[in-house]
Amino acid sequence: MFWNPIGRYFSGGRRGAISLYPSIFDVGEIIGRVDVMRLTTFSLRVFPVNRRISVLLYAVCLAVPLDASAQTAFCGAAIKSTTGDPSCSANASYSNNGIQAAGADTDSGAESFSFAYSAGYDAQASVTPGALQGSASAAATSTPPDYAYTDADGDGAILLNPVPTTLTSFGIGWSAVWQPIFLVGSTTGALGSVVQFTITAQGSGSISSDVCATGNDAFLSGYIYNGAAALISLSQDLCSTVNNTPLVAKQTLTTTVGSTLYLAAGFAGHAGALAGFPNFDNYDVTTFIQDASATSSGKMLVYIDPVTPGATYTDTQTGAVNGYLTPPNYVPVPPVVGESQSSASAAIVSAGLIIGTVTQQPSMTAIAGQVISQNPAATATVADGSAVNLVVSSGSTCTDLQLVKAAFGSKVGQPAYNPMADVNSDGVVNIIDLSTVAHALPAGTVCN
Amino acid sequence: MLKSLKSHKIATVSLIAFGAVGSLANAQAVLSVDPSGQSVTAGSDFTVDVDISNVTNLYGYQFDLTFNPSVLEAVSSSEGSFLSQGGATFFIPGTNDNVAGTVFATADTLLTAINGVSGSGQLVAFTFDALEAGTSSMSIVNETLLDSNLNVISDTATGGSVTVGSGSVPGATKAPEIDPASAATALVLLLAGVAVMRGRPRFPPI
Repeated sequence: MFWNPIGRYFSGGRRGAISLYPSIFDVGEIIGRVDVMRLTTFSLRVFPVNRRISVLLYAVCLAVPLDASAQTAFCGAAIKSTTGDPSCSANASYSNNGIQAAGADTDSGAESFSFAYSAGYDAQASVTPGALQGSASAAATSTPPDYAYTDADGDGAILLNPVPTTLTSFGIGWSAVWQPIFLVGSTTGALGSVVQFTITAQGSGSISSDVCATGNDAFLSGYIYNGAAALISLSQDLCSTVNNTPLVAKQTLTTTVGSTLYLAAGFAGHAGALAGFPNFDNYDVTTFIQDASATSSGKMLVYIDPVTPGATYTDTQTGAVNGYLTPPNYVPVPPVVGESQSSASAAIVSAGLIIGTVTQQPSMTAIAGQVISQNPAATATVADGSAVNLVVSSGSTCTDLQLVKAAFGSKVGQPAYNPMADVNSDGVVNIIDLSTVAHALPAGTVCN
Repeated sequence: MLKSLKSHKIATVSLIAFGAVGSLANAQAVLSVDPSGQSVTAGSDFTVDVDISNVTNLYGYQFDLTFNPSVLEAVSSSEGSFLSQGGATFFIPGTNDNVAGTVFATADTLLTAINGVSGSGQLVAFTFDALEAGTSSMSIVNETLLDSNLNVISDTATGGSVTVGSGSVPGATKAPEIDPASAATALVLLLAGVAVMRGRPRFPPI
């Protein structure tokens, strides 16, 4: 028996059994059905199947609105191996806890799921025991994370690119198989980060030509949504897609850190070979957690928390707590070094930023009140409302002037030469250095 | 007619004004030794000024003054009155090198971020000893003038010379100075003497 931690519909990989097609709707919500199984012990006895029939059943499964009471019957029918599978003597059925080929499992083989991730990537996924079990008790053992990833390169993020290409024969089965798509998230932890990703069928198998040739469809569909409305809809007929090309156009999503994003998506395929894997291009996923609590409602709940899982976040602009944070406007930091403090402050405020800390620091060259340095630098782009810290000169001193006097007229290599007195570093201490230091004295200063 | 004349006057004044401005804009600051030539007696002290003229917005300066060390010996230098018109200053008198014959790196600068000084005046007064008879040229070299933006002001420098006479003939190269009062007295006495001599009775031959 297999229990899908994501949804209540799943494919069953059972020796001599069939794989089942998952529905994608739940009561009042868009529900993703994700199954991450690989039928390693799949028997060829399930083949051949009548693909036309399977297509028909599949279409019905998609078309019929579901409610809780109808699910079993509908999907039971949908996964029924009506012909050509002598091992499947009865319609498949399942409990709320997962797929069960109730009364129809004529073989004695054990079910299994497995991933075939290759080494060398961060995303060395492992399935926690119990994560894919199909019982309420098992679900309790699959508390987050169901999937554990290791930051192998220690860069602070989980890199899912490139996606393992050794994931072959994934989703082979007579019926549709759902393949999980990993939620994108921010690697920097910046609130409201805009991320982009593509989904690409990848792998040697891809969509076998015979699948599409028979008129079957195999497509990617799903949603990224916030629990209420779909943010991004994914739908692409894999049969019309060349292998290793993006299945969907590059998507852009503004992450809502601290809030929950649902991802419901998967591959739906038909008999033959559906080999592929969603490839989030150039993207590090910081955290990928499957929330076991969501499985009871048939949802695949995945959320990204780039900062601290479970922490409370407040939108500094709206004050919303754990809400959908308002993406900030990013503005360039104006260059203010060399400006007077008042001019610098005006420029910073005008740019939509605020004045941060202002630190006084002596300077032999900058007149009192002149900005010596700024942080962030002028080349940076920051969220509006960010603070810009300034270091402002408190000017030079008479001691500085005496320092220059002591070395006055000397050149590099001469005993009297003092590089500190050579404020313009031209190798000679002269009137330019003397007047520069004198010019930087605070107003009213008199030196003897 | 009156109007025409008035316009003519205005035009003339304008031309003069613009001419003056243009002249100022093109004027180059001049550093000079003052006096340009003088004679002194060996063994005496004397002063030489370095002046500036036609400068605009002078904030700081530096120069060396060269002389003949076999004839002169540099003793001291003091800040002139020109730059301090602008505010507090910081004066470096320079280093006397009486072997090479140079007062090296004399400098002065205004303090704080203020405007410089414009016009003409005395920058530095140098005191020398006249060692022995001879002649010494005096040259201003390695000069740098800065304005209040710390930009260099272009300039020209003109030197001078000092002739030292021997001690037995003090002021040999100078024109004798006559006290007008004394001269008048001498003239009166001379004339009185002449008069007395003319009015004196002649004695018959014996």
